[in-house]
Amino acid sequence: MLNEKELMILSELRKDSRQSLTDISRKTNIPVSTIFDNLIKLNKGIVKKKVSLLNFDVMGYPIFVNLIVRSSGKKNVERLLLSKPNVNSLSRTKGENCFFIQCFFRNMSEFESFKDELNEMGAKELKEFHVIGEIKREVFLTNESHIKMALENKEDLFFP
Amino acid sequence: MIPRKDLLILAELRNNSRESLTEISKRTSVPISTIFDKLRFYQDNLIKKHTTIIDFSKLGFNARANIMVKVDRNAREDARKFLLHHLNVNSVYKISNGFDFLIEGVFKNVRDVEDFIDVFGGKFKLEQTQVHYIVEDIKKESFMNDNSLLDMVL
Repeated sequence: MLNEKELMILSELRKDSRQSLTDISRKTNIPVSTIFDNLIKLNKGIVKKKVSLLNFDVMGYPIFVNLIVRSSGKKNVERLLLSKPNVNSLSRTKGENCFFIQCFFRNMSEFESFKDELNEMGAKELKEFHVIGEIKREVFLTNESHIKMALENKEDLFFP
Repeated sequence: MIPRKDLLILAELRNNSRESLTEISKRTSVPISTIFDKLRFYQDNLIKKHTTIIDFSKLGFNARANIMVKVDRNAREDARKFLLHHLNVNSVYKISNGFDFLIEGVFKNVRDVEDFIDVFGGKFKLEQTQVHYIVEDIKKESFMNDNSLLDMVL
């Protein structure tokens, strides 16, 4: 479990992962050297990835789809999904052989071809949800209230 | 049409958004000053945000769920504001195909997920709900992070 300083540093990195250590120090009142040491620890444990979120619509990929797929149980579907560059994120969900997929396409024809491939590989149930607008994205742990929530969690673990 | 050089830079940021300009320059053969200008140019339009993906379970948030909801038409705007400000909601999208919102929520446990849905349903007339609990992330934010695949964009 993290302490308050570590959570504050993490919160700053969630808001802007390209911030300099000096900027993070100014905002959190934590010395730069402490931030540097904490970053090493955070990068080994809790940080999965530092990534820039892009506007793929502007880049020629306006079709943003979330798919729920149940496969017949063979590894084919998972292997296909891992190999496809259009797949942005892939998660296993509760339920037998169920996946939640986030993907981007240039046009509907490309998306339909992708679905055909999935069906050929053994995808049984396929539900699609097209994203028509983003309201907020990757916002958890970007403000003081989230930090307070995380610290309360820490107490619950010791005093259930 | 976005130039190839720009896509190379963006692919580097998709791999590691904290990468130094020097490293990006070494990998892309684009001068540091050019990279600096490009990043400033694309900030807040093509680049939405530089963020850090973390393992929420290490903070004691052991239940993540993708929740699809359809609300009464008249309650849609108020529901949107509720989701925009709710602390447990990490991401929200407006979606089609029979639902209004896709909510990515981060909670302490499954009971908190159910409580959230109860509160949401109590405030706004829910016509339909579908909940998918995330068990494991296999791949996260991978689109456009591979230089070798940039030809598919060009």
